[in-house]
Amino acid sequence: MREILIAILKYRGFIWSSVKRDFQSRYQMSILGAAWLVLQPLAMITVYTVIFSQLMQARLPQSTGPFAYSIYLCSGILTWGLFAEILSRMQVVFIENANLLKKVTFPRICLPVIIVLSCILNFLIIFSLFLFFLAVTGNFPGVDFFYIIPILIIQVLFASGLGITLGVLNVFFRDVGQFVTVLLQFWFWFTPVVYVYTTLPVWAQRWLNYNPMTAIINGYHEVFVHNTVPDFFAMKWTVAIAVIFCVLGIYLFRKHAADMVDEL
Amino acid sequence: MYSIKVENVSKSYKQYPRKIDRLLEWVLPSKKKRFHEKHVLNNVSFEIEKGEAVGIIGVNGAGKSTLLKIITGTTAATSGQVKSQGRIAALLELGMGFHPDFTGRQNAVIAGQLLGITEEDMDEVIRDVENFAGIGEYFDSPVRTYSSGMQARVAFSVATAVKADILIVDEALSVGDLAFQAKCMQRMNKMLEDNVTILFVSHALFQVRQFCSRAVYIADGEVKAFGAAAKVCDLYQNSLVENKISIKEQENTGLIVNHKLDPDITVNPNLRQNSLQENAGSLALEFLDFKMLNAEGEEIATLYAKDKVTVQAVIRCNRDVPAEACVGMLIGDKNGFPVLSMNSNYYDTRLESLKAGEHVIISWDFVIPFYMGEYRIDIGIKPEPYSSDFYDRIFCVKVFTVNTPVELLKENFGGMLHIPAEMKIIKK
Repeated sequence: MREILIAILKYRGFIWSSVKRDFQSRYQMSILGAAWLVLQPLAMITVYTVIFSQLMQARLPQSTGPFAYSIYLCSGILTWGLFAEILSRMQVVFIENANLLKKVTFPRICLPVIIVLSCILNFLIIFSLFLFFLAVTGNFPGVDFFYIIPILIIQVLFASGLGITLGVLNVFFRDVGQFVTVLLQFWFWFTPVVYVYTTLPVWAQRWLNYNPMTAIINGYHEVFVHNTVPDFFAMKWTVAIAVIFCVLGIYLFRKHAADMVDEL
Repeated sequence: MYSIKVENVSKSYKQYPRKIDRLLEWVLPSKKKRFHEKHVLNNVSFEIEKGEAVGIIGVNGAGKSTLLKIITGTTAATSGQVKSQGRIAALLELGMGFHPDFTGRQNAVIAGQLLGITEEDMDEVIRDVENFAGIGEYFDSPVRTYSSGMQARVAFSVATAVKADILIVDEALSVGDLAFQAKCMQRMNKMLEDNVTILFVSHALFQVRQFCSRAVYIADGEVKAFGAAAKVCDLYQNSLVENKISIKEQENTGLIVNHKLDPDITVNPNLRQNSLQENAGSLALEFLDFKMLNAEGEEIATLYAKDKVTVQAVIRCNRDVPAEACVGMLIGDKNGFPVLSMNSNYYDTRLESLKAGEHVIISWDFVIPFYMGEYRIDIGIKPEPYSSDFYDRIFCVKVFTVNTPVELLKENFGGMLHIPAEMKIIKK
């Protein structure tokens, strides 16, 4: 563990400029550039707002504001987006960098760190736009806003731990990559992002509680929609699972890092 | 003091007969071995001094690249260890892991960061890379638009721009054009003067002979020889021939028993390994073997300028043919460019009429006119010199290397030929 941290510190220059390059390369080839960063989630939010709020008349039971459902959607979709992006990019992190891994010697742990940082950077940009929207419409949650920081930390920890586990496994078992795509589809709809958790029947709520992401997304909703303190106690299992995957991920990485190059 | 010390290094890859076997091995606690090992390197040991240039030679698949990867640290040895002193700059398999979407400049920066260049030094290093690579405005275009030669230029420039203690180069010079190769050799010579250790893989043996003081010859994952470069190169080149003979002798014993052939009539089953079957002719006359012999009658593949050689082709007649057939021999450089044409009719020699089942051996005795380089021989038989039909034809039937005499090599000789010349210096 210690040598991993030292390696990250020593190669921070490489990590940081890789994050910058990652950001640039994603948008420099397109005409609209960084606007795509906003356009993609915006399109998704519009589709869900129209279908669920307008056509299917979904309403939030307690809140009445005109933007209530939009805020509900945004707080869930944007944070889910961070989770899904980390996971889907982490599972291919070693495979996509095969060329570099095979020819240059450097601490391999840098690659997942770059992914996590660049996902967080993207998230912060788009999330600050959301916060701006909240402030303008007078829906900013105030000091309670800071409750989302621990939730974000738990979420990123969970995504990174699971991501690195899948990333290492994917090198040896390429089925993992296919599986993750399918998994994320199901996972999205098994998490109360689009629909409202409290309107579900009790038996369905009970099933959803087995999903570690439910407590996380509910936490965001509590802060942004209901302006209440999130239920941190409900996140205890998520924290436990996040820690388990982090330990498993680091274990697998250390055990198989040397063999990885031979498989790529 | 050593610069690189390789101690009993072995490498084997795990091969699982079915994909599921690896999963079973990971999840099941049982100690059952589900894979078989493929040995690539076997107990390799040698030691390289600081400031020395060492060549690594061997046929494709001998384990040279794997060995370099282990020394560099991109892959781990299964057993044994490598100790090295100081910073290693490596150029493995013609690349530095460049990202195709980034420009040459961006990639050079990434590579520089990975080699541990600090922010302050980076500008200077990049300027040096740009100058040395000499690819003009392509340096600011994405690497995917580069030719392989341009990539090699940038990669070599990056690897050598950094002040390193050890430089590892894997066949980097084979892609670049001649001008760049020369530039690379100059830079590597300069590095040697600066006491940098250089480990160098090349199939161009003359480069190894010229540049390296010692060489490691690797075959089948083992060190076959380690010592003075010229000696090891000779050994390697002649062993290529020996390999062939041993196969041939096995085949021959069978043939002799079956057909009761004259012992001079030898058959080489590998004769056509570099030539396409479509290129052969009607096979009314067919080549069975082709040899290059030295004055002692031993088969050779490496020789020195002014050596006397005998070149011999064994021909079998499969169908009756009329007289006047000519046997062609063309010596070309390694790219196949014709350099020396020695068809039998140029020397007033034509075959007599032959009956099916008869054999002839035709031979050329001559002095090698070349002073350096690698050459290939193409052979063919035509019914008469102007015919467009062939009885038989084999491309690249033989490859040989001519070594420059040491006294010329020391004068940094570069060229295919060397001729007597009258020289004058007039002082005014």
